[in-house]
Amino acid sequence: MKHTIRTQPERLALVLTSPLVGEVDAKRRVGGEACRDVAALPPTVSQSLATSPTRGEAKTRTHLPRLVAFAALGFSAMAFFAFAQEKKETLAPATVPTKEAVARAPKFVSADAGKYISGELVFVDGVNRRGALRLDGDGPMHYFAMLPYGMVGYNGAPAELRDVPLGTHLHGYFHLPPLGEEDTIPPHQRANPNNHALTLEDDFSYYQRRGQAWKIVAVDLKKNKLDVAATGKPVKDGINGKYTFDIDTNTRVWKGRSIVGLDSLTPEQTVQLNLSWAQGAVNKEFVVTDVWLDDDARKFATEMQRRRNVRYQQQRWLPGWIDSIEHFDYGGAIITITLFGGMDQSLYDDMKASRETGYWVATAEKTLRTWFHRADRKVGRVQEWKEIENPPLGSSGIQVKLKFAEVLEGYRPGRNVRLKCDRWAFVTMPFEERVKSIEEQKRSAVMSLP
Amino acid sequence: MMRSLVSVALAFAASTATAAEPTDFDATVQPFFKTYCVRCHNDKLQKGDFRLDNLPRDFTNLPIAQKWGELLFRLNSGEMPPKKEPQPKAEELGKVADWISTRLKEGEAARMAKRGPITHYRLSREEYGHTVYDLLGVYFDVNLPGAFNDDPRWHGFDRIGSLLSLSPSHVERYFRAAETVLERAYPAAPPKAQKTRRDADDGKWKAQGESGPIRWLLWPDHGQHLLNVSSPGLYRIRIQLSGLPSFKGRVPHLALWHHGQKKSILGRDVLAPEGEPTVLEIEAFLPEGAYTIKNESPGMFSDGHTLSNTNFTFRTTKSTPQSKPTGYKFFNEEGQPIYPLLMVDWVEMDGPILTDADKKKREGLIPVKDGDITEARECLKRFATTAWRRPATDAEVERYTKLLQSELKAGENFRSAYRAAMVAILTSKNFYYLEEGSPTEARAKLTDWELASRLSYFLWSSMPDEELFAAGKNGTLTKPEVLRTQLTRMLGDAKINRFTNAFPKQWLQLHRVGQFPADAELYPDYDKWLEESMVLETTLYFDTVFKENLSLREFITSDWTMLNPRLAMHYGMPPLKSTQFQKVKLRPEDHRGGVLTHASVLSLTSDGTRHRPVHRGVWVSEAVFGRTPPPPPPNVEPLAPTPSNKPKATIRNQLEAHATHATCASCHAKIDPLGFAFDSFDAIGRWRTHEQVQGGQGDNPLVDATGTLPNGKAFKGPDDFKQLLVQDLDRVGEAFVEQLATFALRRVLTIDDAPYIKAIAAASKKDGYKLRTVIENLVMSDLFQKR
Repeated sequence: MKHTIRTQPERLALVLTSPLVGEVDAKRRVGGEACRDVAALPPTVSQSLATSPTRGEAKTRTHLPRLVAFAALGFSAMAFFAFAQEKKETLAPATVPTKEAVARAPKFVSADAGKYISGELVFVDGVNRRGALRLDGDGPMHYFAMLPYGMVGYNGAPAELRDVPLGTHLHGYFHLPPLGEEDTIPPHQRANPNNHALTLEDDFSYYQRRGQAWKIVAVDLKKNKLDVAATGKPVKDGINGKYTFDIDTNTRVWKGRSIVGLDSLTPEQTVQLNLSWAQGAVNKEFVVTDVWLDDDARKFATEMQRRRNVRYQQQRWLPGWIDSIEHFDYGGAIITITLFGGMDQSLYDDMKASRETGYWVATAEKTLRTWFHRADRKVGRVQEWKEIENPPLGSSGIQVKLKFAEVLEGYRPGRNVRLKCDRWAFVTMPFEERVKSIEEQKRSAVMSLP
Repeated sequence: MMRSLVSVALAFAASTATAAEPTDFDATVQPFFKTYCVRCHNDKLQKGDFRLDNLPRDFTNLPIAQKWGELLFRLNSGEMPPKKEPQPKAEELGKVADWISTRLKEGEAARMAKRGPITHYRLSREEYGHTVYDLLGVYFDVNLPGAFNDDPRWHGFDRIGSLLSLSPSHVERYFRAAETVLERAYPAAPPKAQKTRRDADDGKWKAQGESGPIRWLLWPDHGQHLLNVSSPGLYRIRIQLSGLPSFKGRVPHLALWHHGQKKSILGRDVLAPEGEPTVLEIEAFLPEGAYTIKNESPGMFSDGHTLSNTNFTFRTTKSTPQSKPTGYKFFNEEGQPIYPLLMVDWVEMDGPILTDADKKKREGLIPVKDGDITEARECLKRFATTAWRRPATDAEVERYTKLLQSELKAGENFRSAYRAAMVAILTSKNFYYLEEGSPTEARAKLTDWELASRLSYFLWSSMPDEELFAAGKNGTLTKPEVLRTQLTRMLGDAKINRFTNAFPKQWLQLHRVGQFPADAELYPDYDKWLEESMVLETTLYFDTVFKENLSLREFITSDWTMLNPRLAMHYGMPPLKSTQFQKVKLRPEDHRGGVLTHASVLSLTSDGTRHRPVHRGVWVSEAVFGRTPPPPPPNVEPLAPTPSNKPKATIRNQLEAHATHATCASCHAKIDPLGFAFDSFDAIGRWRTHEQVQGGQGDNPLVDATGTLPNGKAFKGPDDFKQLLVQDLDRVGEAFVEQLATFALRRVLTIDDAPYIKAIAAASKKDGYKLRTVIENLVMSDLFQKR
């Protein structure tokens, strides 16, 4: 594979402006997180985290660690640029990522410690934000839980696990269980101890977020093969060179807002695609489920998912955790909460715009499930709204200080909460999503393997 | 108005006077009028129909006083002299305004103290309650909503005869009260005895699969409805419970909450470890109704939103009392109680209890035999004589006998008819009025009967007891040795607590504590119990001065005070080990001592948001010096909050910028220093070095509690100020005697009383102004026995 050597600024400019990798919408947080994800990975660690090279990859992979980090910082800055700063500060203690491999709330786990794992989603417990991947190459089942601040990306937009169809090929960074949560994933055969996901993304989101796309090299409709070559900014983990995927008549080829025929695939097109299991999966053979030919198609897919997720979060409220609490023995408390990252920017905007009316705060489990959040919550009046530069991955960088007249048992440092602003309607969660008893709370603390 | 007269005539003649001395009319006022007023208000020209050159100076005459009042108003408001005319200097204006103001108060006092051949002093409602209890052993809550009208107050005193008038609504309420009192004293059927016990671990939990021991956990503002009282009366309540302080040492406060009245009837602080519960025993008069045993510690468990389910079974703090994250949080991350918590095991109630002493009071007042008119007449005479605190004449009793007979004739049964006659006796003016004087003879001295009542209502706020009654009957009470014997006996009686409670409240105007509720945002831990504790500190302090017969000096400065844990916390003092009020030694760094630094006194002048130095100054002037400063001119602009773009400024800074009007400045110069001396204390009486200022820019400013009195003596803060007062104890002593006499004589004192006051104070000085000595000197004085 031939690479044109460019200077670092040129490369950065290419990455930031290339339509091939999808426009990075500064108002959407999606891009921001991914970039911070990469940015948080020092080159040496990034290299060590790379999985074994995929077919055809070994010879062609080129690392530009410094450049990647630089570019990622650029993304991060862009994302934050649209984020009007109320008060910019250096990192607050509560948001400093832990240096340990094991997460310890309320400190965000260091992205350095994550292990890259990819595979096909074969099991989902959407209510509890857990699932299982069949590892690439027909590997063993990898049962996992999302960290409370773990982020899912689907079709280039924030998502929940339940949004991702079974069979979707995903890329994730997995960590050791947070302290005290070692039993969340029960022991099973060939279990990988890194079973708590910080990020989990389909191919579309994963590659686009990192600035990599695919150039069609050849289309062989007789053999149902699609030859592609990575283009743009090569990813560190995953496929970053030439690859041959399976296609068939069931492959959805998206152009604009329509599905077109396979004959629309032509060499030199730059596309994003999603993958799934193929007959030769044992040899890391993938079938292409979807191909997005143009920017309109990609934007449309992203917007569809974005809207779905915004509704979901508005109904379940925006997650975060409690950094600290100052009790008053005559009643009430001042509670500092950091909002988790990875959500659509409009949600944070809503929160910011309705600071005057305070926030409804419901206690949430580590699964982010609430009990009966429309009733079992208290209102906190906003004392301070702080936006932190360069927040760790998983954090939105937004820290709010709320004053409560009454305090719930679940308001404890490190515990998760969900916040609602007055722009969102009260809804009652469906029966299966609510935690209804201590027994159910205990039961849901541990994953039920299928 | 004796307060100002005595002060003006005696106290303020002293060199340390803080207020202006009366200005001689001929030397100062008359020339002022000639220069600035008379040209337009004389015999030939009377602009505005007002003539000043011959305005009489009889301030006891109301129409004339009103004209002077009008003049004062025009001068104060700056309306006169007109702008185009020559303007007086501030000092000139201030002297004239002060002279008129002082004379107006003298006139008012004289009018209020004016006595005819017979003087009627209506009982205050507090006195009514004590009287019916001492008469019949019936507790009647005079403070119940609708029971009685509020008594008007004059500078805190609620027993000033000239103010306690009678209206039809009073009569109606007296009638209802009399019926209630007699129904309770002589019920148609004896009240049902109640003996109840409620256990937290009553076995029902076991049926639900819970295992004991189970306790009721009471968090702030939370309680258990455990008691029902079917008949009002004296009840004995026993409660086994633990009381855990908050992580900051705040002690839990248990209250007995009355559902109907929506208030707590009584309360106690409780400290007992979880594993070593205590048994609290309470004996109290309880109105009928439902009661909740409640934790009344501050804690805002009332934000208006109810959680879906907060019920849980509590055993111990170690067994994780609240396991649902959606319930209330009671323990912090270290496992300590966040709020003061109560854990109740059981409650017992027994009553109503009729003590032998109360039973005895009711004996001989109702006929044993139904239908015996002769016996009824005797009983009615006994009842009327006791109730009216003097012998009831046969003619008087006959009217009530006839009433009984007319009721019988109308078909009422004997008991009911007899009770109607008793009700009539209790609704007679002879009961609710203290009468002094006689329509047939002009006399200046009290009779023995009248003296018995005066003494009794002074010290016990109630009717004379049998022994005092006997002394009145024998006609010996006016003899000094008998009077002294009775006085000594009365001072040692348990009922003297009514005096040590009522007098300091009225003298120091403690009814104003909490009049403006403290701002919940600024003072979030201010609660009802703190407010009650503030008043209790002062009344118990007075009680201690009385019982230990200490000097009046202790009211100004001391190295002790009376505290409970709540106040100790409020004052930032070390926590107390026991819950009741106790005498606590003060350290210099506590910045307390004497009543002037009690939180009650410091907060009663605030507006609930901020301290008000001027009001504090006026209070010091009234309570300590017995002098009421002139009222402020009309249309005074209130102090505006500090603008957000201006530096933060203290109220003192704002006041100093504010008092620019000539009259304002002259008065404020006298009043303000008395208030500024206590600027080191905030609106709820906490010590501070900086004043919290809402709005404005920059840091909160430093407090400045320095000042200079009009006599030129400077002080550096409250301690210094108190030392200046102590150096002038004679003034303080005379003012105190005046206050005590106002309370005892139930009238405003006049200039005529001044020599007596001076003599009583002088006599008391010989014994170092010991409180009991002052009281004895007052009672033994001619003034006390004078009508």
